[in-house]
Amino acid sequence: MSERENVNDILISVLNSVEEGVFSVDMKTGEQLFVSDSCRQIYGYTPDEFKANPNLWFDIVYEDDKAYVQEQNARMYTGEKLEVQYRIVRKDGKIRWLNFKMLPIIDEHGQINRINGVIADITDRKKDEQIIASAYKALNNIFDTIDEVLYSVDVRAGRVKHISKACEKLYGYKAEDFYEDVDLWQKVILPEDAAIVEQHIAAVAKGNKDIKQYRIKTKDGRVRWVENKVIPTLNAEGELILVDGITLDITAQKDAEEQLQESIKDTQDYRAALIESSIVSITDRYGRIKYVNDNFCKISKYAAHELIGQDHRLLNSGYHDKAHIQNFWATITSGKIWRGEFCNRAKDGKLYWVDNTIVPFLDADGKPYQYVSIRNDITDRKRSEEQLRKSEKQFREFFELAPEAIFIMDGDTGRFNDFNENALKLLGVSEKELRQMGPADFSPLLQPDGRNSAEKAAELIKDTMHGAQPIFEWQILCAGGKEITAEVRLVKLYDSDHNQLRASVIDISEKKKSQELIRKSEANFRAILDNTETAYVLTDLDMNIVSFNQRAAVNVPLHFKQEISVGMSVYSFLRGGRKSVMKEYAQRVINGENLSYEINLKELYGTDLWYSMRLIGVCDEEGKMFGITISMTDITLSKGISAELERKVDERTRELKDTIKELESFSYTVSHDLMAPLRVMNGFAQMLTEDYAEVLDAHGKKCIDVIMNNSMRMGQLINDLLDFSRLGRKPMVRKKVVMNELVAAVREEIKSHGGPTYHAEVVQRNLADAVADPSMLRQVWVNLISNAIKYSAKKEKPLIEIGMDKQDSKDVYFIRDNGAGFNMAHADKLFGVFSRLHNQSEFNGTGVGLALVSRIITKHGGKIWAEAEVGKGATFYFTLN
Amino acid sequence: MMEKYITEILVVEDNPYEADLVKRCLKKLLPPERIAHIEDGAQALDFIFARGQYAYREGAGLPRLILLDIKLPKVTGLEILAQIRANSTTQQVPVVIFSSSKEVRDLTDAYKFGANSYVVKPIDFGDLENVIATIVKYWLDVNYFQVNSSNSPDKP
Repeated sequence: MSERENVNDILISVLNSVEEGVFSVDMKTGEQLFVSDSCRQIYGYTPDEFKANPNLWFDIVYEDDKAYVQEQNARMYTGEKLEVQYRIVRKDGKIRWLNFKMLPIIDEHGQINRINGVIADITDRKKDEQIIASAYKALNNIFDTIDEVLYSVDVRAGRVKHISKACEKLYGYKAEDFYEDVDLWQKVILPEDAAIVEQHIAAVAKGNKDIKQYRIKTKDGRVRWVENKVIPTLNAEGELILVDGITLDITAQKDAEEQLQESIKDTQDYRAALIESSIVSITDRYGRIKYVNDNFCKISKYAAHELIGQDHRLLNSGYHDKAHIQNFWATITSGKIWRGEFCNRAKDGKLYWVDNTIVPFLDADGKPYQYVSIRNDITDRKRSEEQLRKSEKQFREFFELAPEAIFIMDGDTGRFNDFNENALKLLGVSEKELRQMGPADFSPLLQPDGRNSAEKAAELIKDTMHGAQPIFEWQILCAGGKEITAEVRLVKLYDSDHNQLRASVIDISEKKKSQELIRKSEANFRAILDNTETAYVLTDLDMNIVSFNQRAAVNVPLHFKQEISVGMSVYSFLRGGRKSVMKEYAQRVINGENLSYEINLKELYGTDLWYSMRLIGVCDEEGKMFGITISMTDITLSKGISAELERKVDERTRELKDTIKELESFSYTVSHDLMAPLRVMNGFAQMLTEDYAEVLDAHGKKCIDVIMNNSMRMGQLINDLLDFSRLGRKPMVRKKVVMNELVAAVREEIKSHGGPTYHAEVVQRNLADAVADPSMLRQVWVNLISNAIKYSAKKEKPLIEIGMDKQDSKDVYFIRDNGAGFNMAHADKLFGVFSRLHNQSEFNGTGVGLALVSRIITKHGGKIWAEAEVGKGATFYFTLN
Repeated sequence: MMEKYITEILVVEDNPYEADLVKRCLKKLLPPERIAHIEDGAQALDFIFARGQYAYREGAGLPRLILLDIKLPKVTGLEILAQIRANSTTQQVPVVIFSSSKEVRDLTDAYKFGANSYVVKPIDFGDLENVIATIVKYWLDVNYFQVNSSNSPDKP
């Protein structure tokens, strides 16, 4: 045995003899190079057994720790020195806690060669640790369950050693937050309280226990009051090494304090307000004034020093009787509060009213030792009450003078407390009788609505007492059986002490009658309206339908394919362009126009449907327009008739035009073609006399003369006839005609053509001007003057007078001659065409002249007539419209 | 073969008897060869414009006066008047409307178409003679009218 082996043996025996197990494993081969005997003790397995099963050490690891062991084992390959603890299951089944210390041996290549380890059985130590841990845990639990935050700070290390879980509740921060940041507790303090905390810290630094209250802001932003108690620990050098403390949440307590402070302040405020606003005095038990406030002085006009020490009777107004004062003294001396109104007299003699509350302050024996009196000035109120009394007096006068019957009724009993003279007159009863009556006593059994009078009255009274102010009609049965209709107003009386109401009653029987009449006439009117063929629709100014008659209810749906109802817009019946046209019409009506027009609903029906429409504004009594009536009359039928009429007129006009045309062409033909043969007859007869003068005897010559004269006469007739017919076709042009000038000109013309027959004396009076067709009027005068000359030519002294009369404010022109005249019996033939009252041999003429004159006058809308006497002359009169 | 006289008065009249009366009156005033009578409107135009059956009158010059009836067969008096006035050569020829008509319409139409005068034929032959004498005296003696025989009318 070498020395080395010896040393080895010694070492092995040492290793085997120590309580800890020692082992060495070749990491390359996994071979267990050495396992000490103690390992057997620890594991209960022999070293041979370990050698035989290289994995045995892992197989026996306690199941729960296997993962941990594997994880730790892996670290061995990093070359780290290890100390691990885990449990194994011994061969005898016992579970043991083992502590492994392992040292990896690294070779020159940096490879892990071997692991040497020491195993110790620490099962017993583990047990102790567990006991301590659970004790510690229990303590922690206790800490954690209390609301106060307990903490401990290692000042030198600048580290929170411990803080109880209550911190979370108080600060909102977790214990971990405090462990991480030792200054956190200081950071949450409100800046306002920073000074307090500085003092706190200074005190603790000196080693003094200190308690401070301050506010913190929690993590979620709430402000809390806390109280912090700190116990510092100093070392021998007087250096602060440890701080232990408790922090309490005192918010609730602080709040309560604040409230108390506030309520104290409130009380002070109240007191100040009371003294400010009210009249306050304090008297001693004998009624001597101890204190008065400014208001007291102000109202009483006394200075404080004049009042202090004086009896309250100084202010006695003498208004109140003794009983009032005795009652008041009796109340307060017995320790009760007295409330009432007092009239006092101020220093200047003026009276003032106060509303007084006197509070006795009682001593320990319950006896008043002083009285505090609080008053308010009610002088104004008293004044208005006085006014009210006066107005009540006025009311009373009104009550009697009022035109209606007034009853003051007790709301509870339904009896009459009061009534005026009119009430008695209305009912025809005496005052005494009425006092015994209720409303039902002068009402018929039933009211018109069929309700029992007594019940209905009771209900109305009840409603009134609850604040309603009903106005209603009531049938009243007067004394003597006369029944009248009255309008009744009920009002509750608030100014009385009792539950009273006032009934104002007016007889409206007459009004009712006239209303009934109006209603009837309206019904009649309505009946007429509903039976008319015209549809009426009343709208407001925006053309919304307010009402309509029966015809509208029938016709509108029929013709507009839409039902009509109140509230509809008129526009809703119209389409497109019609709508805007109606809007324009409505505006025109609002502007004061009355519109009437005709419309054809052909577009809706394809056939003609004519309506005559009228739109008229409707005004109220003050003339303010409030609506529009639209009336629609179906005039399709009359339209048809008038269309037929128009067609006929057209036809006749056309016929007439044709006739006129024919007549024109006829007269053209006449003037042309009838004249030529006459001229030829005349000419050839003349030629006969010229060319055969020597052949013809006297008779022959006479015959030729007859031919020539008659052809000429016929020419004249045709000419006159043409003139006459031309007149009918000629349009009339009315102008102002200066009659004097016209007649003078005509006379001159006739005179110039007249030759020897013209020897009449013509007198022309003043003639009024006229409005007429000048050329036609000229023709009239030509014919009339010519006639006058012609028919008076045979007189020795023909006299013609032209003048004018007024008849019925009309100008009547006349021409009078003293000529042949005519028999009035034939006057009717005077103005006919070709009718003559004289024969050709007497007076030459065609019989067209007067017909022409008559036609012209008629055309002017005038009249022509004549008066005559055979042999004495004729007068022709005419007017021009 | 008709001779080419210098016509002084052309009478356009469809009624031969009336024409006889007028011509009788005229013949008392001027030689018959100076008076031409035409019975219808179409021929009257041919005569005036020297065409158709009157083409031989080429160069014979224009009449100094035309007495024109309004109511004519074929072409009316007014149409003849219008054509006379429409031609630059014939437009100055005096035309007297010699008509039975007193119709205003005829009167206004005649002046509208350019008649120089409108005379209503009297029924009485004596009156007729007087009227014709007045017309002839006025238009042939009083009125100044330049006859340019070398100038034939433009054929329309």
